[in-house]
Amino acid sequence: MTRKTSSRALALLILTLSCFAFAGTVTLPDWAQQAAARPKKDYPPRTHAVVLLNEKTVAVTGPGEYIESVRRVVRILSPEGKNEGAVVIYKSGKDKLLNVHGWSSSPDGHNYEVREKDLGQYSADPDWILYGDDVAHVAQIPGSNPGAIVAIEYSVRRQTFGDYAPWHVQEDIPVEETRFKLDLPAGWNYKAYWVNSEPVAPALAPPSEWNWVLRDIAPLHNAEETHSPPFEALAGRMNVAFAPATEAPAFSSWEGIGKWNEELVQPRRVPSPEIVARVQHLTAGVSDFDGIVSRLSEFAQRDIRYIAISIGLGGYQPHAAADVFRNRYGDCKDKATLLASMLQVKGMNSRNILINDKRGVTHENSPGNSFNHEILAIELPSDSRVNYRSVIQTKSGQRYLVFDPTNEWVPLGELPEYEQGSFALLSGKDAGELIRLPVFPPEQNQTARVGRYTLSESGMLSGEMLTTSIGAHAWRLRALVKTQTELERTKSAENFLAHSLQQASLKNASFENLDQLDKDVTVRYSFTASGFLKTAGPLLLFRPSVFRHALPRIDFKSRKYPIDLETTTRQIDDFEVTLPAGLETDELPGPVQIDVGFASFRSTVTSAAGVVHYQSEFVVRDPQIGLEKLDQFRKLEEAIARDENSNVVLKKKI
Amino acid sequence: MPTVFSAFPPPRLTNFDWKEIMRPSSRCLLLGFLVLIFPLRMLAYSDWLPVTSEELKMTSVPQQPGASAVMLYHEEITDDFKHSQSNYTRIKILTEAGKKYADVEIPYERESHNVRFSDIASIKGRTIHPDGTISTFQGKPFDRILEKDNGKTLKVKSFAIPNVEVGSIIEYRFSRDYDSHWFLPPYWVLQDELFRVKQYFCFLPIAMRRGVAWSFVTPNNVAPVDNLQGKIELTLNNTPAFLDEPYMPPQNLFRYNVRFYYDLRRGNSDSFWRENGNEWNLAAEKFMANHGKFSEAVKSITSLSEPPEQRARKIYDFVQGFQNLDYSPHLSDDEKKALKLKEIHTAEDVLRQKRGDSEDLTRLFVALARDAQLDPGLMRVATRDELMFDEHYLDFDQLNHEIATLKLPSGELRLDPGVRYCPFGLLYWKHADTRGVRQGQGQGTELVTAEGNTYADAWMRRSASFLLEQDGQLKGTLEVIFHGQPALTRRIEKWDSNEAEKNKSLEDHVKEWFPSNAEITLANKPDWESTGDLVATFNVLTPAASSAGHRLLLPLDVIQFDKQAHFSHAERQWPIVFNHPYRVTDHFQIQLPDGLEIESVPPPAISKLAYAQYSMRLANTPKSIEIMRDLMVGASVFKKDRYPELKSFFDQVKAGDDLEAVLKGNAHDAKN
Repeated sequence: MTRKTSSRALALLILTLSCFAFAGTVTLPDWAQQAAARPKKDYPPRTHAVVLLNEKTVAVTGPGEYIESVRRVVRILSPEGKNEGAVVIYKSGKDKLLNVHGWSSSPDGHNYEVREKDLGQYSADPDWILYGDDVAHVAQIPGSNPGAIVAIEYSVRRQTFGDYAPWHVQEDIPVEETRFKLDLPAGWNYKAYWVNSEPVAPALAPPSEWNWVLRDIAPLHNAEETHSPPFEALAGRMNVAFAPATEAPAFSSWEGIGKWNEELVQPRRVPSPEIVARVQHLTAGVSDFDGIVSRLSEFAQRDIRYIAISIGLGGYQPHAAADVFRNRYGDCKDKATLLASMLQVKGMNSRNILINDKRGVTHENSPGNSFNHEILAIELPSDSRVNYRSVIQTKSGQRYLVFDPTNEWVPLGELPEYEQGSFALLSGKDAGELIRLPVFPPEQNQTARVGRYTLSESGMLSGEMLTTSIGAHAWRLRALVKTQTELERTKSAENFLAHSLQQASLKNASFENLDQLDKDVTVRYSFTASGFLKTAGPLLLFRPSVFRHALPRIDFKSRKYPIDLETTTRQIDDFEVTLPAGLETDELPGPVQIDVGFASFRSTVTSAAGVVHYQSEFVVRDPQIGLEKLDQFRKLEEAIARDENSNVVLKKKI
Repeated sequence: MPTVFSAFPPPRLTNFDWKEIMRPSSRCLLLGFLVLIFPLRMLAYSDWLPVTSEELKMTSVPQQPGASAVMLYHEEITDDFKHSQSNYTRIKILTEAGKKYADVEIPYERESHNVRFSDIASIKGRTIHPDGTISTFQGKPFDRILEKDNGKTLKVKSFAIPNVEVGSIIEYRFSRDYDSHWFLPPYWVLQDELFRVKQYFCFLPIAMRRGVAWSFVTPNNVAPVDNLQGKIELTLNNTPAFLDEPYMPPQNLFRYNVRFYYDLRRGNSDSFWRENGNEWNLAAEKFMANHGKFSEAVKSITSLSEPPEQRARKIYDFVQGFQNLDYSPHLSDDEKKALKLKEIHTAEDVLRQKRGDSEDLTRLFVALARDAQLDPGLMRVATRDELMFDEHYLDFDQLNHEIATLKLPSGELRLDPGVRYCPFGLLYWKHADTRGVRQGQGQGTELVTAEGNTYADAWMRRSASFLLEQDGQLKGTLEVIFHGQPALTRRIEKWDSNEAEKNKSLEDHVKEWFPSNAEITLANKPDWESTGDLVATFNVLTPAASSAGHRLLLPLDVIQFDKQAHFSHAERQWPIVFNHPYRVTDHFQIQLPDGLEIESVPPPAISKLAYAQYSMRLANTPKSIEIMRDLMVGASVFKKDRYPELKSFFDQVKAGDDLEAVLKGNAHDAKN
């Protein structure tokens, strides 16, 4: 009996040990232990993790293929840093995961590991892609708690559609050491360009391996600051392009990248008989450039619905124009290419344009594939009679009309504000050319508000306001309102009133020219607002500015990054308030005027014949505001607040 | 701090029953559903319904003006004999924005623990142009993995119907086949963002010995029809689109729907909750069984000579001192093994291991309280945030959290020992004003409402001492005391953050009360780990005064309570629900600088409803102002017909907050 019990206990013990064996025998690899053994550095309290080592090796095996190997060691400092204990490997198309191993050394003394079998698979395509083949392999390494050391190692064979590789050196947590190794086949050459980081020279490990090392890179926390430029526009990175010795790396110059894209696009532009027929139908009776372009661009913009299907090279190469036309759908490059094909039918030349829809990501002096969007440049003849705003000129002197058929609400001749001022790459048969797109002046992104109101003895304001919007203000309004039902429009209008007026009651809100992109969008509000005339002691008061100005809320305290207000703008208000018969003005607010260069604001309040007249103008000339101008921005904001809160003082007529 | 209302009414001013605001919800039960084989009458048409000229000509839908599209027909047929479901949808595109409905994505669960679960098949789609010509979808639908992890594979089938223009009618159909091991009683969603002209639903349940049951929320309480031939059908015409509103109740009892389930228990709603409650009760009592281990613990915590409430508080604090696994980092199986953590099966295990999840800790509290000769009990409630308890939907899983009850000489308390940071005497709002099953006398249970919260349980007190500077800015310190719900909510939201992040979240929250160019800095170290008040102090520099001719105006809401009125819309469709009753009291003292003095202050602003009160009062000397503001909302659930008076009340609050004191003297340019 005793022996039987003992043998059972032994079996149980062995079973128990075998269960725990993995935890006891797992050890961090030497390279991780070495990184973890370095002296600890002090970091601010809100630092959630620190990268002790990030090493990326790109071993090029031939054209369009390399093996990417990564080693990464992280120390987790807070509960928020736990996501740094996850293995996350992105793959696209035919990329193949070769190996993966993750370890953790928990502060309680236990070590853990994950391997390929532990990885889950998730779609990595954004929601707006109907179908794509980007996936993420993910596994959380057990024990990734504050104080833990996490190490990750993996290799992926990457199939690329251009011979280049990016090295992202900056993260949202501190990086103590990051390395990049480029291992090229014998005889290959490379070119490297830096963005937002001082270049460093690599060490050569003969025969053909180059090593770059950077240390102590500060984290980038721009997401915490409102109206910050995007992370990609601020973060340090290196673009490296490579090629066999006989060739210059295609991705080391804008000319090469533009040519590469042209080779992808050109075969897709061939017009089918159906396209030819539709072009003839659409342009019947029209022979001038402006008329033809207007009709064809509207077709591409309105009749081809946006659908993104991105498979392998399809992430870069458009579908054939004939297919896009037949299906009546496609993504940005499909729409641009179909329009190019249709223009071709009429003998008009155009060039596809690569661009990033986040301003500032593409840097002029650092060629690389930093694009995520495609639009079209249409050769502009000298006899065009329309004064288009979105016009660029190449070095050769050729002028192009730039058009984005993906944005349904921006008319021909204009550009969405998120593309204005960005660098755009024109594709070309022989070479591409990088050109900065124009920034429209404030007058072309304007909202004018004209209000005629009556104030009653009881303090109720009633009347109408007409807003007229053009440019960015117009297309944003169209994009919002055109997706709303009438009930939703009413609720939006009520919210707008409530933002400035207490106890406002909307009588009506009517919208005009929502479909006519070449016309101004107008909104006519009819409303009442009780309690507009206030009593403060012996005073009767009201705010002549009536509606608040659209100045964004900026966090000034300890701001680290520039402000991006997205667009130039001009907002003008012209309001008249007719006073009740028994009241007259006692005091009026003084004028407000401030000009800080990148923006200005002025307002005046006058009174005559029982009518108080308020006029203001708010102008943003340069939406990108550097930190050195922060104090000026604060003064501007204070001036606008002073205007919004200032009051007209009334008195009873004697 | 002075209390403005010296005699506030009793804390609970109104006591709305949730039932009052619910749409009628009903349940049917088919008994003796014995027919085993039914010939499935297939649709009278092969693939598509005929298209009418009215449908082709339609350009708008009067019931939803401005709509981007209208659903002309929707059909779902679920056949649990054949383990299949078919769907058919026809939509008229009315505007450019409506074209998006031609991009179709059908998510489905492909695999579950190596068992093939379901597949999407027979996808067909087409576009009928305004002139009646037809483009047929001839492509191959895409099929991609959304998620493959932990033995489950979720996929999505997607396809784009081609050649869609404004005026087109699109239609598509597909079938979903699921594994023969599964029966899937359907959940019919009868209402979404589009107006539905006609919809038809049909369910052919597998014959179960005890039948099938359903609950429904439908227009005019139209019931699904049991045609006694093995089919349950529902046809609806002209179903309005669902309208979202701020402060609306959880949608599950308001959005039209029908939920089916196989009912293994004969009987009605009362018997269901009674029988399931009894089962739960037995399991809970087994968990809490006293095998002599509790007495020693109780002796170390308290003494029977102490008053009952004192005993209960000590036991409560003792249990809350244990590790709450629902507020601890998730541990993988590997970590549990490495840490040699044992499974928890009984309250004694919880006591021994000094850890447990919310339910474990609540049960331990009840077990120990019993041993301390108190009169506690358990209650299982439905968490009230995203869903609302539906008594007619016979699914015991609706009840997903346990609270404790405790009878004291002063009355009965509801307690939440399983919620970390929840102080004795408070129920976390998600577990209050909701229904649940409580242990009754003996072995029985009863379905009751878990009341418990009053405005006094959610009280924010703000006090400040400011100096008005010459440029119109206020400089000083602000103290904010979060009491009850607001303290608990803030602590729970940030339980998994370090102290620096917690403090940052608090500072960001308070910044929202001030203009964007104000400087707000947390000046103390709030106690995040206790269950008491959360007290935070801030250094403040904020623009405040504005000009009116040669005078200055000082707004009374120096700390903006709300930037705009709570309710800006004239119309209301749904009842109004706040998370909980609440109270906010403010007491600010402002000293004026040399050269400025008070010319006038506004009279008090007072507004009262049966369930809400507001006051704004001032006291002043020539050189100082004292602002006292008090807002109390004594209920959290309001019927739709209360909307006008509630809107009017908050409009008056806003008007009172917008009052200003007038200052005179040598005013410099105000920054505001």
